Amino acid sequence: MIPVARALAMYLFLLVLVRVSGKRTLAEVTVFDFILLLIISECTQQAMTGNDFSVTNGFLLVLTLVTVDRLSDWVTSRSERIDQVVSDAPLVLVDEGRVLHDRLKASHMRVDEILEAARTDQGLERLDQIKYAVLERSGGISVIPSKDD
Amino acid sequence: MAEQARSLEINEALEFQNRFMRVQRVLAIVAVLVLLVAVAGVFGTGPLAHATTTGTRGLRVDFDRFVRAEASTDIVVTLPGGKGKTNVAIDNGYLDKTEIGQVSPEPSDVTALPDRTIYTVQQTPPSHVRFNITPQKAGVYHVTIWAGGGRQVRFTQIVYP
Repeated sequence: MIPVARALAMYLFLLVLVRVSGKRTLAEVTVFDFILLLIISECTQQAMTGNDFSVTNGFLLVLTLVTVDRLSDWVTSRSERIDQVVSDAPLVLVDEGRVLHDRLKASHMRVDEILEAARTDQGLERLDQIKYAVLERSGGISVIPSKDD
Repeated sequence: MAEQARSLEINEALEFQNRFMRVQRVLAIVAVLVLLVAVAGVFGTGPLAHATTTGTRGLRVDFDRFVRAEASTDIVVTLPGGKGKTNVAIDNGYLDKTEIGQVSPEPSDVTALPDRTIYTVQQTPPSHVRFNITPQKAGVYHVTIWAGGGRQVRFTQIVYP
């Protein structure tokens, strides 16, 4: 029971923590985000295994995590509400060329990050070339360029 | 249901996102408070964790009232006065849930009785006997320690998972 309980507890705690920390953490945008995710995996490993390094314990931990993950996929596919709670929803940051500054601020983001995504994904040079920019659930930014008339 | 942002078909669930952002702000404050409380020692290792209790006839115990399972902690028993061999006993109810590591000074004899385990040490004043203990399970532990001359002290330890 203990391995299953440990794995479950860590999974749920990390799920809540990552959801609360905001979308951009998942996208590993900055060096800090990358290091954070790297170190988190190290911290959780010992908490889950404890002093039990047996193969059986390893199997149980992995099985618990994969099962919970599959279960959450099944539940979120059946309930839009639960899906939003667990996986969030996309957020439009640039609407028809207009930057929505209040949403940028609420998401702790700057226009520079949108421009970076625009350059990386679409090869765009300026803000006025962006029709829509969406902060996706994954933390990444999708950019839809304006069509040239 | 998909919402229309001009020509962009997207389900933003704006009401939910606004509510969730408020929740995020509250939880961020809670996280900071939990960290401050942790620094203070409420989850072990810190000023609030450390405690001293005095029992009968001058027996004193320094211990951590908040500890974590599978993390070692020290219990220091201070014996008042006296020289020579003396006995320090810990109740078996506590020892059954913990692992005893090093005992310092090293006991010359260890005797297991039904309700307690007695460690016989050479006492030279000021006499401290240090037990390095690793709790194995989470819970609230009520501990009794006895020493020679009918001395006894009780304390409580909270062990986090």
